[in-house]
Amino acid sequence: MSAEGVAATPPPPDPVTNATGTEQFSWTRPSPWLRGYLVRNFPLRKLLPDREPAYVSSVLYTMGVLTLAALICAVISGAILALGGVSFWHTNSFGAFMNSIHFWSVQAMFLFMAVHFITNFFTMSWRGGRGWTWITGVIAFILSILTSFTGFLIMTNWDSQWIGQQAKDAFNALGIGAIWNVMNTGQQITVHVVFTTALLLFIVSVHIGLIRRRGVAPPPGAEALEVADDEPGQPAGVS
Amino acid sequence: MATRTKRHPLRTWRGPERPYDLIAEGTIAVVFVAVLCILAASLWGSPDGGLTYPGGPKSPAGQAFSAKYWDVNDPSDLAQTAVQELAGGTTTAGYGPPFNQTTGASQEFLGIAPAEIAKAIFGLTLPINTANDFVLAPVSQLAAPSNPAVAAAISRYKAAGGDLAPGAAAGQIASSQQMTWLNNYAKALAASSAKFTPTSITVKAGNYGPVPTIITAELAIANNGSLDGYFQGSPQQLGTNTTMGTMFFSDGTLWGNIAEAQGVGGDQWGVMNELWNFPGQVWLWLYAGMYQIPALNPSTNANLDLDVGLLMIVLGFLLPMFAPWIPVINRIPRWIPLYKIIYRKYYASMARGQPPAEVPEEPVSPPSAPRGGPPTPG
Repeated sequence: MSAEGVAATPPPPDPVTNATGTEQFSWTRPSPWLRGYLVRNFPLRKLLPDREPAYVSSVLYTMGVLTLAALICAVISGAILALGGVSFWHTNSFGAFMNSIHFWSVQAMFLFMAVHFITNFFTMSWRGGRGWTWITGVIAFILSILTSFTGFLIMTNWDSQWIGQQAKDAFNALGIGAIWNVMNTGQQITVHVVFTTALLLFIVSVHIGLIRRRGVAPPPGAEALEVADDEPGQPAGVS
Repeated sequence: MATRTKRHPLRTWRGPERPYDLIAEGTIAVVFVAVLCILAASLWGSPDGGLTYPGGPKSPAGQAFSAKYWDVNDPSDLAQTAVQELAGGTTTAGYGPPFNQTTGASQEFLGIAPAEIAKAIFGLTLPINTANDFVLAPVSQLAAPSNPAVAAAISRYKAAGGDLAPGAAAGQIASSQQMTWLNNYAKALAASSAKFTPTSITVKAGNYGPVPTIITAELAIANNGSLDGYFQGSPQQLGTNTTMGTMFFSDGTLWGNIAEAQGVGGDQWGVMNELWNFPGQVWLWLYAGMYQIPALNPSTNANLDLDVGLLMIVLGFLLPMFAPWIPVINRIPRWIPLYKIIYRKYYASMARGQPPAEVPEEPVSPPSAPRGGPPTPG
């Protein structure tokens, strides 16, 4: 079918969602638009792929998923620690073991993340309209630092006292300390367990969504093999 | 007419592909990392050494620094720090916002002090009066009711003046009469003839006013643990805020000595370490490293924390965030073409004019027409 033919004949609605991908936004009835947006940008074949470009064959390509796996381990072990209460791991051997898993999963996460970060810099993975993927990745990195930092602040032992007392100077110098008191353990528990973790999980979801939508960047020099946005012949509402 | 909507292609790559499964890969990754973490946790555990340090007293796992620990292990330091808290001579008393009204203490960059701006917006959010909050109030509440001599000493001290309002500036905390007593007593405590036990102080006779009684009472409530309860509690609620105790403890020398002995001091790249050579926040290497840069004069720069904080915003946040759009930075991967190693198999196969050898089958051809169609009834 020619490009003209496609342009002349709008694609029929997706049989599952009844969305064509061209629905207009409406404040009172946004659901059809959202359905169309999701079908257009996140069809299930992209969200749950069973094929990938052949160049994705380096072990370096596993660093992203390993970072995510370590995050999952950190969230699960952290949830158990939080459920037990902020101090129980000092006196309970199961809690101490969970704390160790939490500790090492965070170390592993940052290790994998660092390799992921460096790899994507040197492969220039921002090419081909992937700028937001890069930016959300950096934001996820910053949020990970804040999350781990507040985690170190709620250990309820000397280490957390010392780190809080030392860190307050930078926070106060920047003026943030007026409302974010790193020596206030109660505030840090909320910041760590709820606030930064929720933000991190959200940003990581956006990061992964962007990767799934646009695919991984091609090798430099192979950009011509990428399928461009709006290229003729691309159906909209097919999942 | 419908508005034009950007359409991302269903397939983003028309070159050779290979089979893969996202769920399978994710599951394997989670299991792999979980096993790795369980192994590391079993082999090495995690740092919770408390106040252990070479040559120091035994410390149970997870011990926190407390007034009781301080009193038992270094009553001299506690007594001398308490005197300075009364005199407004400690780091906390001279800190400025958000703790007190002490002027000229906030860190500046190009004449701008963010702490002062925050104070103008939010007020003094964590007001501390070192004399009242660390010494007079706890001694009045915990020791004076059962000890008339302490009660009389507190009354006499307060009658001599001094500003005990929350957040009072360092210079206002003690009156000249009080400063005379405090300076005399501080000299006596520092003398080699001074003798300390966790609950008593022996110095040469002198003009100290009520100060010795108050400081001895401070040692007593530290020793019996009630001072820690006071710092951790709150007049009305249950407390989770450890600010007061931390600020008091950190004015002493034992606090920093323990950290240095454990190798976690600021000049030891401390934030990257944990006790017993456990890794700490290794990812803060850039932040920790800036405190070691000679050009920033770490030992004499009064604005060091602000300088480092601003540099971190630029180098640790903005630079990586916008690296793809910053000239020179975004050329680095071209100058150091590591991607040629990463994609060597792909480039080799392309040079041979054939797809990579590991391609197991032909790629799925991109759909040339929409699939689907109208829903099938039933």
